[in-house]
Amino acid sequence: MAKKVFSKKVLVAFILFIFFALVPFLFKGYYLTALGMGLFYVLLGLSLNLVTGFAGSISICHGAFYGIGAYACGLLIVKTGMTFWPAFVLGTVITGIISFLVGIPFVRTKGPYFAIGTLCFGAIVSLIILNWVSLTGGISLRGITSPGGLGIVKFKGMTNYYYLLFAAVLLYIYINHKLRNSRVGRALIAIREDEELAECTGVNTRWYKLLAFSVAGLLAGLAGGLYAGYMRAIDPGLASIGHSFTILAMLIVGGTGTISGAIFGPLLLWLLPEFLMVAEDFRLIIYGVFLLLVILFMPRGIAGQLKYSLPNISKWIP
Amino acid sequence: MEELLQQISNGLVLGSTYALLAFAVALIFGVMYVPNFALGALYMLAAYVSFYFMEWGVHYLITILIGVVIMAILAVIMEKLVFRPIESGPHAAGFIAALGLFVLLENAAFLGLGAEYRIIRTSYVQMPLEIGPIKLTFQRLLVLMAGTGLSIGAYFFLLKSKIGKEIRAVSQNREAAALIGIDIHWVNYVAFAISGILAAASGALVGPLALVNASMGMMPITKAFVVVVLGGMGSLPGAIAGGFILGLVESLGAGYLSSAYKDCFAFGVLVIVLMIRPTGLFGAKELRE
Repeated sequence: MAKKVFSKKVLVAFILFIFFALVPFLFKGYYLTALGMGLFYVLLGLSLNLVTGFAGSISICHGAFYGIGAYACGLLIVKTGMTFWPAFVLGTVITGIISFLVGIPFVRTKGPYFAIGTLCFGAIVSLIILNWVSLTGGISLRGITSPGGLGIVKFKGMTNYYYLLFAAVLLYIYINHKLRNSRVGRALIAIREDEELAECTGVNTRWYKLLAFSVAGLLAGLAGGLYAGYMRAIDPGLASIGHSFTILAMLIVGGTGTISGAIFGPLLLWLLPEFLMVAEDFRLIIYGVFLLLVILFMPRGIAGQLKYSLPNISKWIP
Repeated sequence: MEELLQQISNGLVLGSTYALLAFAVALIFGVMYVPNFALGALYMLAAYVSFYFMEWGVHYLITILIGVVIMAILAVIMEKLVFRPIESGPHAAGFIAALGLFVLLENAAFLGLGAEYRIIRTSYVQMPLEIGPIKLTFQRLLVLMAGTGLSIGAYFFLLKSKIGKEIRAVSQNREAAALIGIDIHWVNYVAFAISGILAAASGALVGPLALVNASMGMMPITKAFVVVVLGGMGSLPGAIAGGFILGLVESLGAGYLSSAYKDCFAFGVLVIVLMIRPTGLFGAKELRE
């Protein structure tokens, strides 16, 4: 029986994989770009899931790490004349180091203290990016070169870039999956359920939280580097508190702690305003409404609630 | 020396508005364990109420009262519609709901009331006052007096009145308070109404000194949280003292170090305090899940 449940999930996951792999052939132009941009948020949702989903700590500075990754990569290209790939790798590593260092004081805090501490860090980062004009160029940083190519593969336009993002999404899903079914993942979930109890049973809570926080920061930085390479112009809005809120709302609406929720929450909240053709200003209102509705009526998020209240359907959810 | 005194007086004026907002945050956190971000939206809306009623010819001081009443009602509605249903849910739900409510109201105001910066034109802003070497305007003095008076008044209200004692009992131990016959729902309503009054007063008082716009609530409410964390979550005297300390730090930092980064000082202080004491400066209160 357990074998069969497993295979249904695999079947659905496989169909979804085929669908998303064929997206550049099925959609062209605007729809492809919209879906591709959605994948950036899927990357952010999956990386935030490590700290907010598994470890249960609400982090409101994920956009800051995304911005740091984008700016680190962009500045290395613009200021030192590096090509994209070395700058991308270096930028991701820098973001990882920053999130590790920032994580050291934060992992000692719990609950609202953690949330407000990360909120303040996010505010500091966006203020520095906005005010340090001589380094960051103030309201926007231009002149970032695109990845060009890796061997024979060329990343030009969304069609090819989509596959780069798609590969990154698969990597992030793999990391989420591996982590969830490992000693580290079980420790994180124990921390989420009851931090004091986990501590009492000998789990080194600070170390595991720090690990989750810094890996999440590193992966957000990686997504930021990809974004810089695709857009070739970046602005401080990436690191703003509003952006961090957007990412958090997407993950919570999807369902924290679930991989399917971390993918479909961001996709849903990104694509819905996009296809409704509403103005950019309405986006945050829609996110706010969704967040309130989900908190009031589906506290586990859409994917989490489906799994929880409809066991028959849950067999089909990967 | 004169400049220092001037900076200190500016810091106290700023601090009195932080103290009001921080007191409101600490009150709700004590009663419901919710860090209520949405108070930042009430702060902003109260400034708008002042602006619009001033346009219609109502006296500034009366517009403050109107804003206070509307925001108290809004705060109670919030409690009823959003925070009451999730009260028994997980700890994080209240915070996320408050954040969602804040973003919703902020952006609704942005769309509904326009993106342009509004100016509350009251004659108090131009009314100069000189107290010894310190130059103030009447509006600044009003902010300082009303802010200090209201926050200390609210503190003594909680200390002495019957409902105040009930509110404090609920923040100390919810179950025990319910057991001895305190109506917890009524206490919640009153606490939310008081917090709405204080947040609205803070916004309407700051309004003429700042430009009124939809995003004006973000920085003050974030700083109120910094104050509340510094003062220990739920500690009311801590919130008042912390508000004034933060106002002074910011004013002196902007005057002597850098005004572009003045917002960073507050957040930097918080990060440093959390490094040393993960539960805030005076926070001994254990978090309840």
